[in-house]
Amino acid sequence: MKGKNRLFLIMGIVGPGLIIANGGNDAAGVIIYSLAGGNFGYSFFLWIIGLTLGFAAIQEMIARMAVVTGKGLSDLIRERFGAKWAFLVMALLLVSNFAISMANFLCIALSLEMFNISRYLSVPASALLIWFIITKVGYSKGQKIFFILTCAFLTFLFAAVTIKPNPVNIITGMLNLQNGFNKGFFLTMIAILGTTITPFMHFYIQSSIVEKEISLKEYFYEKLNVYITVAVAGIFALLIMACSTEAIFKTGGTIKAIEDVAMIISPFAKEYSQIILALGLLGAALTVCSIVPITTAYSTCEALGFESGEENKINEAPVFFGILIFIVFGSGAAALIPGLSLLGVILISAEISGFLCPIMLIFIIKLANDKEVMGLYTNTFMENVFAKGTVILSITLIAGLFISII
Amino acid sequence: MEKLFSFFLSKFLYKKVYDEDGEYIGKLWDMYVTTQDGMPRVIGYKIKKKSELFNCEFKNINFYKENEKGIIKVQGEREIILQSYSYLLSKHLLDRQIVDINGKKLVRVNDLRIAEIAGEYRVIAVDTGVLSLGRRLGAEKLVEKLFKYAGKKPEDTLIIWDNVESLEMVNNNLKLSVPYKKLSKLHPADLADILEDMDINYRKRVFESLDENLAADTLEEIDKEVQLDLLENISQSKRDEVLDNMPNDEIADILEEVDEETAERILLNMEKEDADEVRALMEYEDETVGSLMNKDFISFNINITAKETIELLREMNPDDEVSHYIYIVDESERILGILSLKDLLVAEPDMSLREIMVEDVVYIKDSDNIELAIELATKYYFLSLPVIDAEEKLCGIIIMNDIIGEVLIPIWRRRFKKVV
Repeated sequence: MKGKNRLFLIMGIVGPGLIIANGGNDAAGVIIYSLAGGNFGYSFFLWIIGLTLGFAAIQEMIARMAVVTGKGLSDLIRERFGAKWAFLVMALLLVSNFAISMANFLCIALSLEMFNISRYLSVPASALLIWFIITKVGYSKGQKIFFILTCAFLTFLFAAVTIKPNPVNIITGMLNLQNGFNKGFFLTMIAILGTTITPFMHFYIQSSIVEKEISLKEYFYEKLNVYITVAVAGIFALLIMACSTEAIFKTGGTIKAIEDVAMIISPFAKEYSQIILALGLLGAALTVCSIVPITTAYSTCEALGFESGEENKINEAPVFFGILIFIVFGSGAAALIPGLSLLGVILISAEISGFLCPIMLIFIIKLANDKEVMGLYTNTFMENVFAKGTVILSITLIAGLFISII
Repeated sequence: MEKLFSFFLSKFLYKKVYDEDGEYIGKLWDMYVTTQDGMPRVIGYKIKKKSELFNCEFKNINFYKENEKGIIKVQGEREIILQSYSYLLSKHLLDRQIVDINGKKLVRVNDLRIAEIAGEYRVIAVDTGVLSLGRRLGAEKLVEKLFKYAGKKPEDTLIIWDNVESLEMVNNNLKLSVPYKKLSKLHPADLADILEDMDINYRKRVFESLDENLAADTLEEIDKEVQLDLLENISQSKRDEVLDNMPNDEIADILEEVDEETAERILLNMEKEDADEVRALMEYEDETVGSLMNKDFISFNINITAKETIELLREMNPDDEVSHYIYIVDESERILGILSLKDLLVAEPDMSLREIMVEDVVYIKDSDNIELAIELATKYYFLSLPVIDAEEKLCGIIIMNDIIGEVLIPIWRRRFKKVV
């Protein structure tokens, strides 16, 4: 064990984990949970609880794969499934990550517009800031700075405490699904799926655990860390949704603009709610916008065998920098297309991730059950139940959506 | 139909195999090779028929091309049980990482070039280029067009087998051959770079296969963090071997980063004399000369001639970095004089060391700051400086190269981290 004592070790592992959990509840995620609560009340509580269980199983599989194989997820996909599948997965990842990055740039635009800063200034400026952080500072340092801003989201916890939702209301609300099973309901469920189990997170987390070079002996702590962070993320999602239900849904309102989202924390934050929400969104969005391009570029280059690493010169690693530029500046530019419905685009981006989610999960489950890859550490029965259950539910959901459209 | 004597594996993998009567046998699923004699030689084939896999060999197998499509024809099919020293091309080599010995880096295998040599099929080269990736994706033509569009000639980037080292296809059972033979010919600094890029399992496997001298030299060159992980993960016997071959100051540097428990465990397994020395080195504060000094140096306290000294050096065969200067000390190990290797070489063979030595020695205290060492060494053009302890005894030397590597480069990198 490297740390001075066990507590320190746990904190060392949990620290970055909490950031990731916050990244999972990225800026777009906060908006989606708010939208879901504001428009559908407590209907999605069960779905989020179920997803959190599935997510815990999947994150644990990812962590275990990292520790056992010492390889990144994209490496494993390439080595076990060959060039074609690796290419397909990377192409899908690129699409999904572009959408996520664009949604988070929109969140930056939204948050700074609350301070009357035009998006035509804020988005290009933050794209340049992110480029600077990625290439010169290192994204892990940037993350730490942004994390401070993200702490503003804790107001959701205080708001929930202030509101004190009635447990009976929650239970009757979450069991009452009569208003559901239409197109909007399914789409929101898929968006929640996409933002809770985001495809890029698997790649990011696996490589960050690989980098920590945790041995099997220490794996217990990493596993604990995974479960804690997933639980925190799940509780956080429920809190946002509860606040949103009480503040918007119960009053008969709907969320049409970012100002309505700020209403959710107003029971606690009062007149500061817009500022606090804006800071939180900004921090979370900047975090995601700097992690996503790096993760995409590394995963793709590793899977397809291109030179990678920020320490290279552009002409030494053209594909690597090409992807970075494409995601950072391409998605930033796309976020500036005039006339976009901001909340709508954020929702669509999460839906894209939701559609791709089961595909990624199938690869992960196959790998985690592969004796050649995992040796003695393949999935347990219960893990397969949760993970495969998540896949089956997701596919059913997507099928349900298509049926509801027809 | 044209018979091919040299082809890419991807062109025939998962293609249909027919026997002499034109009857369908199954699909070519993989090829078994042996690496016992140079380039991997194909010794068997894995065939899949109706979701059933079986291993076989053929009296005769030919690979044909017709209208850009690959066709495989065989004669004399026989099912076989393979010896355990065989590897599968698709499973163990294709899509895997492999070390490019000339390029000194890890690359990913996109395709394999196979050729018929003296009636046998052998892997002669691996392809790591974009064109081969395009071929694997079934978009070779598209990639070729893109190349032409960009004004470049589409070419296969083949690395011949002699210049690659597979990480998977290593036979630990064969005592005669050296595993990772080609890797062990690399310079330790290059090997260190490659090891840093490897995943932890490969890294451990390759490192354990190196002989103790190379392993020690390589470990010195590896990044701090990776160094620790390696030391903690390798077997006890390998660790003892490697540490035995490392200068004590390097060991002290590494152990300072480990937690006490591990450091103690490692120290307990070392010889007492070395362990005490390492402990003493670890006591020094950061940025003092003592924390960076080398405990190995050459000193004599007897009066011998230049010729005898050279003979002694020939016997000792000291490391490069400690052999630039020879120190002459008295009974209580205080420095009397210094002699550079050049002085020694040009001196009359019969002159005694005391006659040719320079008595005015520039030295530094172990508690001094490294900055002072840099100033002194650059002022007087020294490659290393003698270090004395509180009792004025010669206790080590501080080498310029170590200062550059351990102190200056990290600072320089932080300050001038350039990307584009």
